[in-house]
Amino acid sequence: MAVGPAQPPSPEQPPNAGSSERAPQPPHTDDTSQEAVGEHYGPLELTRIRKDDGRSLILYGHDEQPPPQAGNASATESDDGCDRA
Amino acid sequence: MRPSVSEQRFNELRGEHVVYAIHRQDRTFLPDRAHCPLDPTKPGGPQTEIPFDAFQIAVFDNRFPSFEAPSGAAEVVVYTDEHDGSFATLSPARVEALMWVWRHRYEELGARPDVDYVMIFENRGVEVGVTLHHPHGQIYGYPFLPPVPTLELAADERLGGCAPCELLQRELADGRRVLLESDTVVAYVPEAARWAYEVHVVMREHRASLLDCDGAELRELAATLQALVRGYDALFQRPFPYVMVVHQAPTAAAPVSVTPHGHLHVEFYPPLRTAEKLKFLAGSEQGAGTFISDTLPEETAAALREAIARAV
Repeated sequence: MAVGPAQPPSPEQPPNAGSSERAPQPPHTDDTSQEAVGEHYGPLELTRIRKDDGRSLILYGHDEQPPPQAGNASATESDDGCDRA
Repeated sequence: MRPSVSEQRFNELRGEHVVYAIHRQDRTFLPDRAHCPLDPTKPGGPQTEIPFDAFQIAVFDNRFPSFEAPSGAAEVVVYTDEHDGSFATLSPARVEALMWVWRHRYEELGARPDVDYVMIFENRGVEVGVTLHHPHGQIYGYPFLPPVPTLELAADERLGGCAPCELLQRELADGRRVLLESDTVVAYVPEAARWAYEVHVVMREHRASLLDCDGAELRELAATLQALVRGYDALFQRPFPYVMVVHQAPTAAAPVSVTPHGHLHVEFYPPLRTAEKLKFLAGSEQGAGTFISDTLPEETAAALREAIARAV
């Protein structure tokens, strides 16, 4: 039923690329316990927290700088509605 | 006292599971802005689900789960700590990061023995039942293979290969319903769309899941999804309600990355058929399972293309 071994993040994305510029500050309440800091997944930095009621909370940080060449999808002809084939 | 766990029953007549999550009847419903549980927790303010005064993306176990271990999962994905906005107004970098979050959750939940199918989705707008306006999506880890992915696997059998690959080639050859295309991703209104403005965003190459995508492909997927939802909002000059669902390979078989079944694509089911009129699932849709549409996909695709161009 389970899937195979975890797949590593894409080699295109170094594990520590673009780590968060806004790492979470200490919580404002005492109802959580921080379990792990500094885990990475692709461009993401993860902080895993276990809430007092046992539920999981994961905070994901990333670099907010615009990615290079972000998106080159282009709208096709916008108003003709005609056959483009 | 309501039970806190869901009960699954099998509807023999329809051949499908029904989940009774009656504890959800009491879930938070359209709270006022000062009591949004998805906001960050501010000093002196009410405690929220995220006990930090700032964050970027947060994922947590749903307080009112439809599924939970050891029989599935239900998570909430909060896109931003800003209460106002939407998927369309996020920064491109944030949407790209969200693709990685989706990938991570698919990988982790899919590895669980009690999760056979990971479904990432977003309900947007009160028209589709949203109870919290803060920009967010959800993830369900089903402990069984639900009907829709089962139908997709049946389509693979019927078409003798990957159905989304075949249908994508047909759409590209026809061209009339294509909205956006790049070397990586294509968005189109499907030839037999059930909803007036239904759109499928499909990976051009066969990718069973997000795990098979590299960084550039995830970036392109993010850009295409955001261009589409911005076009949706421009279509009628109003926030456009939709249900967005990420379709990927089932995770019951191991390993996911080599399964021949499943083709990563994102489907949008918007309920609007005009700026003010909703499509309801009525007699034919519910009683016979046959959608009756008031619009032609070629015409709605033309309108969407114009709206997407306007929104750039």
